[in-house]
Amino acid sequence: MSGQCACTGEPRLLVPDVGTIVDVRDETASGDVKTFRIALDDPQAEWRHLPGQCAMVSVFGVGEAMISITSSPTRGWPLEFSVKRVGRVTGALHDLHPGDKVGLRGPYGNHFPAEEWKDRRLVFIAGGIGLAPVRCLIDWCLAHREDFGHIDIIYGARSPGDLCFKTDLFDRWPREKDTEVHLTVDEGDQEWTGPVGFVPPFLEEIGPSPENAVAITCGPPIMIKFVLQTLARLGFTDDQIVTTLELKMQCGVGKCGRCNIGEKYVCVDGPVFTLSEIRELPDEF
Amino acid sequence: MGEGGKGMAPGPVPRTTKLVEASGLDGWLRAVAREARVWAPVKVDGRPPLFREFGAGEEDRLDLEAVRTVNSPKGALLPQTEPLMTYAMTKDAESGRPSLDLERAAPGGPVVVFGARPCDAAAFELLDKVFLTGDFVDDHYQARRAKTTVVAVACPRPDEACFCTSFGLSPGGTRGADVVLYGRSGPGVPVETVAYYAVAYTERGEAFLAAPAARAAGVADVPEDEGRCLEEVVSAFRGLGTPLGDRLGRIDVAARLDGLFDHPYWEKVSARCLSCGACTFICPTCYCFGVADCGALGKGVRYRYWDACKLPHFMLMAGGHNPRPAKSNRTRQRFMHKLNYYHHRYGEYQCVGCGRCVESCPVGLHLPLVAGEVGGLEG
Amino acid sequence: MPRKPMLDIERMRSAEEALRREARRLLADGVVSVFLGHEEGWDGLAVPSFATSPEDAEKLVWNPLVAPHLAKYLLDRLAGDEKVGIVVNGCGSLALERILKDRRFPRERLYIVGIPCTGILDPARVADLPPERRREVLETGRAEAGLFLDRCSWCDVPNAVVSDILVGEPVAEEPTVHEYPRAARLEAMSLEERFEHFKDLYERCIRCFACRNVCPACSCRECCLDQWEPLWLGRATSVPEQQMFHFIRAFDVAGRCIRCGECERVCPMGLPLMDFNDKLLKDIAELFGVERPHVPTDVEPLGRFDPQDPDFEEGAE
Repeated sequence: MSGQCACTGEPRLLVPDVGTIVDVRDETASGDVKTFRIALDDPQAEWRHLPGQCAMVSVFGVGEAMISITSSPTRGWPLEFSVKRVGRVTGALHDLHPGDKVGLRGPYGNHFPAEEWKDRRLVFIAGGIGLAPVRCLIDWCLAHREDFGHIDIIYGARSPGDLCFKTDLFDRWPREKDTEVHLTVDEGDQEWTGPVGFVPPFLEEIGPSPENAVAITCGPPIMIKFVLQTLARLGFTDDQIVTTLELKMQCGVGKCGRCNIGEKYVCVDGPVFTLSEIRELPDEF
Repeated sequence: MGEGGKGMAPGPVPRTTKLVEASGLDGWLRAVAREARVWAPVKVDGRPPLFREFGAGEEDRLDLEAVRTVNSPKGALLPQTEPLMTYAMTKDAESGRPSLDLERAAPGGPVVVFGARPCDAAAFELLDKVFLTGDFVDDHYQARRAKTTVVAVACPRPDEACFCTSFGLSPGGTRGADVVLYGRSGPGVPVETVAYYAVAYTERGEAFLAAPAARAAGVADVPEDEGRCLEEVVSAFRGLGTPLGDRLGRIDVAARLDGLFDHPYWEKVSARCLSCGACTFICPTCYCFGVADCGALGKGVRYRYWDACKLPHFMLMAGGHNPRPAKSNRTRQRFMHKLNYYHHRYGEYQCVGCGRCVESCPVGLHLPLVAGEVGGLEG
Repeated sequence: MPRKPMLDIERMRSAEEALRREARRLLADGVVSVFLGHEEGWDGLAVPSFATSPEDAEKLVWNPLVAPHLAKYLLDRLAGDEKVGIVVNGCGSLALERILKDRRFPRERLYIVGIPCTGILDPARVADLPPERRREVLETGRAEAGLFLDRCSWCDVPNAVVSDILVGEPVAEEPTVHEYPRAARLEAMSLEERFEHFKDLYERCIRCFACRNVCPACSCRECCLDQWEPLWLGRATSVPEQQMFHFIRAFDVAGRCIRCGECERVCPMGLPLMDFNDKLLKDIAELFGVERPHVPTDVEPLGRFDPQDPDFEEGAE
């Protein structure tokens, strides 16, 4: 253990591979969420991820950000990353165009333990950009449709323009076997004829049964808080509920200490946690 | 793991033992500095010594009289600023398409850490647990570690801030060291002026003592009739207590701390904290870091740099949310990490009792204080 | 002639008793919800204390080791409107004035107990003494000039400059000639010598920010040195970056430095940080014709415009 080096060449743990932005599309009407498709310049360096995992996306000269991979591994490369403009790095990323170079390293983190959910009913509950990591899982489950029971996708955003992945929401997913998509918005507009209201009461109204079910939820902290209360009222136990934690990450590999909560490093022990695991962590997020 | 203080277990088996005159050390280091980067306690006039690079020229002198250096030798393995790679954005001359040249930073040549105290040497093993184990091996650290030789010097006179024995270490401990120098006069003297027994415990240590630079410095075999003396000296160093360590006893607060996360104690003890990074940066076992890019006009360097959970912005997220906005949150994090979280993850405490935080914290908010006080709290 | 610092242990002991009495009263009567003072910490050194009950007030001390300044801690208590008690000597009151004149804490929320002072020892230097000598110094008050804090040698405020109540006998004020020995020493150096002198400082600085965090003049809500956009200070600890760090800080506090030297006292690497401040204080005294540039006023030299400024010429570009 004390330093017998088996490595040859320069160290590479924190060094990204070079990639190129293949295309960029706006997910929201305001453009504050964009989906980037990124390919690696060296196809030999490609890796295969699992749903829930993330990658460190570099904007050279600015920095790195840990972004969840939103495309299912069943779709291979280029990978898709949906990024909301919130700060320095995401802001710089938003200013890039197809053809621009970025860095990529990963895949990091644990994954949704979908292998444990055979034949179970799946209830996906997401809000806003929170749908991004969940989408990867949804598509993966749909690619293995026979392994799971009924699927409910419950999703809400601030307004119809803020709904992400509209093609999936309106065209693809509703066509899937035994799969229901329920959409709501905080505030409708002229064309919107669907439900209006926040996700937690919407979830309560839909009232999915907890029997043999797993609930996967991801979204703004305030939404999560009330969704968890609602799920408890509906009879879901802590083990049946899975979510992702979002914290600032710098190294992504469990060394730099930034995402350390209790004895866990969110970048390696998470970001996917069951509610029972979260209850064991100190309340620091 | 107990190798010192009362009831000590026998130490590791020495591979080779030599004798070197105290007056030969500066010359030895200068010779080594021609082939490797040497880190040692460098004498600074009128001030406590610094652990920093020892030059091959005539200016630097070794200072083994001070009980501790102000800073620790961890910078030899984990530099405060470490380049990871360089990047350069270019445009293809014909197509105009963007291109990026990326070069990974070379790990550098051999490093010798000379004159570390046994606490500092043990600290390297605590860092190894973080960087060399787990889901990922940090090959930046590993590459440097693989080329590092650690020569520790046993402590003749632990002072009132020393408490390595509280963690089962000792002023004559060998943990983390390739070679340990024991002053021939034994403990109690301010500094050894005659000669040192140099004992190698690893293959690398053995090679270091057999190298040309060592032989040129007069590193020689121990006279036959000194075998007994050597044993007694080593034993004396290993059995030394430490003033603060004796006062605190063995620190064993991890289980206690499991139930103390929400205790109002943290608010009280943290009130005097200045939220600076002094304790973190001089600590031999603290390792948190950040990663940043530095460049202009499409070219630059990505580097990592020491960071501290005590600094207010450590956990600040894009968008403004700070999970640890208050001093009590951050003070709690520091001590919970060292005395509980690290213990859960790696099986021992993240402290070697070097005493630097005791000396350097301007408001006395150091680990012995907290470790001592949490013992008396009701969970 | 610079004041010669000295200790009067008896006077300090009775001031300590009076301080405890006053703090006890303030807390018991609910006049303040917390009283900032000092208590005996590890190994006898004084550490900041935050008494919230009359029992806590019993632990307050006033002795030769009460070096840490307290005013900066007020910035931790900005939220709410509870009253805060604080004890200050002369230099401590300058720190308080700095915070008040910078409008960082409301005067109405303070209850200030002033204590006269003729000198405080440097805890680090005292800790280095052999135990018997240390005991002797602390009990008899017989201490040579070199044991005192540097700030005591240039102190011209033996009595608190702001207070709600004074405990202890005021010290007779003496006229002081202001000297800047550090600045003079630097000015005597050649450029090369000066560069070497500061290069050593930059190489040893570990960027811990203890100096900035303790400084009463450094109270920005967001410090430029922490910002990422723009990146005033890169995170790398190279000599050029350290130069920027120390220059930026020195110039940001120029004209507002109260010459307390807390920056130097808290620096874990023992850097001579007052060199910068001393030089700037001297420059400001000379360039702006200010006799006591270290005493906070409502508008500092660098913050005011005055047609009488030496370099202002009517009609000049």
